[in-house]
Amino acid sequence: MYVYILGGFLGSGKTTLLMKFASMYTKRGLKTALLVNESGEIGVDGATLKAEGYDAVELPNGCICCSLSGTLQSALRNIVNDIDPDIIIIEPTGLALPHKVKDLVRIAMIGEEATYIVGVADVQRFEDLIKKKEQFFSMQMNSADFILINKCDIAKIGQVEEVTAWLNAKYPDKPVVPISAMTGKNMDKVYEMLK
Amino acid sequence: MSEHEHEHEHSSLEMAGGCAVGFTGTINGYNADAEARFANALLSVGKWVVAESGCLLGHIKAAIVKEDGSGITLNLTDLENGVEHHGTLGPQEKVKFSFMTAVVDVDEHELKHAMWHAIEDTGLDYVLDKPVCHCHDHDHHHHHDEEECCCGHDHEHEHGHEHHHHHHDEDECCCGHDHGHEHHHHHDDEECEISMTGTFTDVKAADALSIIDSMNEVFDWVHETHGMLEYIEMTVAPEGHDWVIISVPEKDFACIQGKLPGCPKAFFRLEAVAQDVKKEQLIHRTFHAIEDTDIDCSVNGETHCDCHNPKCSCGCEDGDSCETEKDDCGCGCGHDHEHHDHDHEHHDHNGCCCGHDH
Repeated sequence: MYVYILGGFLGSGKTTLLMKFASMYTKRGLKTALLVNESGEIGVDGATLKAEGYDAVELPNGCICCSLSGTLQSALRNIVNDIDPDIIIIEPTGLALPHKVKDLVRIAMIGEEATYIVGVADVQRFEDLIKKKEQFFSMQMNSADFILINKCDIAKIGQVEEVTAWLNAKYPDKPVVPISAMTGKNMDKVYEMLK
Repeated sequence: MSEHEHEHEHSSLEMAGGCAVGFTGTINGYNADAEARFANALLSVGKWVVAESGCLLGHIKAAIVKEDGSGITLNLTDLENGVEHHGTLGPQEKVKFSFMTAVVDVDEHELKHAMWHAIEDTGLDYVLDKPVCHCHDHDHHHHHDEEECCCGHDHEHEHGHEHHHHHHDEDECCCGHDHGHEHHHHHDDEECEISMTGTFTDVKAADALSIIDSMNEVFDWVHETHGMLEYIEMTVAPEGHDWVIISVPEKDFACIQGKLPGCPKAFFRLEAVAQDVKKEQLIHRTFHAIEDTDIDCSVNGETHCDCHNPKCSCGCEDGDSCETEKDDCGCGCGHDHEHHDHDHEHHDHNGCCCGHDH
């Protein structure tokens, strides 16, 4: 069983990416469980996934890397006991720190083969994000196994190159791949990187 | 890490300066127009966030679904690209919705208020699962003019309303203005608080608007007398239905928690706090305002006011004679008696609008 954590700031496209991954794994005949987290009392992503035909466990009203850490571990154990999935994909809130979620997955002792963090960066709002929240964004990407630059389909000329250059300079050891989760651009490359 | 350091460890939400708020409810008569209106609500919130924090870092989402969970989702992450619509949903008699915003660098309370306003301004026929509006929360005022407020909120405003400060005493007032001049200030020793109960009969849903109009009338009167109405709020308890709270924290700015149903009878309690006005005059004006609505009502057991003398000390403008002319104390109750700081005894309260419970 493999666990994937989609880490990235609010609105970076994690939910769309989650659905792409879920769809891909389902086509490969693998049992996939989805766990989504929303920091507010009200979550919409669970409804979105259900509307698209995906079954997801939704954890609202807190962040799974801190206030809901206990709830996350219980949810993981229940998922493993009830479904025995091949793949678990966790979408924390966009204000979570993925490395903390990874620690919690390890502590939950669900017998996973490995846990990977997929970093997601929004090319369109990258400049604003770095201006205002560079430190927080860096904390989110530090522990990523690879970083996806999402929304390339609506990027302005030169934006993708700028963001790629910034990320490569900051994280020279991490693969950086521009994609569009919405249109599917470069998703094949990403699927090859997934176990 | 020491125990002390553990105590101060910030959550990731705090580190990011983020907040997430949302609410759920039901929409009646959903169709394509309703979808467009809801999308406008998201845009409205997005514009507010940009005005407050400089950019939209986060997302604003809504899900509108049928009983079986199928439906549409609306998503806004960038004002330039507008609201994304996912899925399709045909006309429905009733749908459920969830509306949430997760962004950074805005005040959570103000965000909730902005979201409430946004959905209220859509004109949709909706009911919230839980009331969210805190307009009448006197620990927090919303400012609606462009002057920079010195209470700590620094943000742009779209509305042009009067600027209010709420302070518990003069020491807290930091606006730099002399009291009693351009701006209104609140001091405990000039404040009066009134409370009024009664019954509405043959209530219709539209009567909520009449109630709001009556409250605005009170605002107008207080303003004309150079006083300040801190707030005016009515709790309506329709028989067999949930309570409805109607408040008007500012002129032409109403907040309704719940929906007023049509019903044969509803009890009400009205409370108002004002400064720089006479309590008895406020009572009388408020009584008139309620009585002059289209709603069949009785206040404190009476449906008529006997006071019509413009010279009357109670402050009413019409008519020739009034029992209160005989009243030495000027409290407006119409009874002959002596007063000591408005303490008085009544054998009954028929026709008495002095505001004392007895």
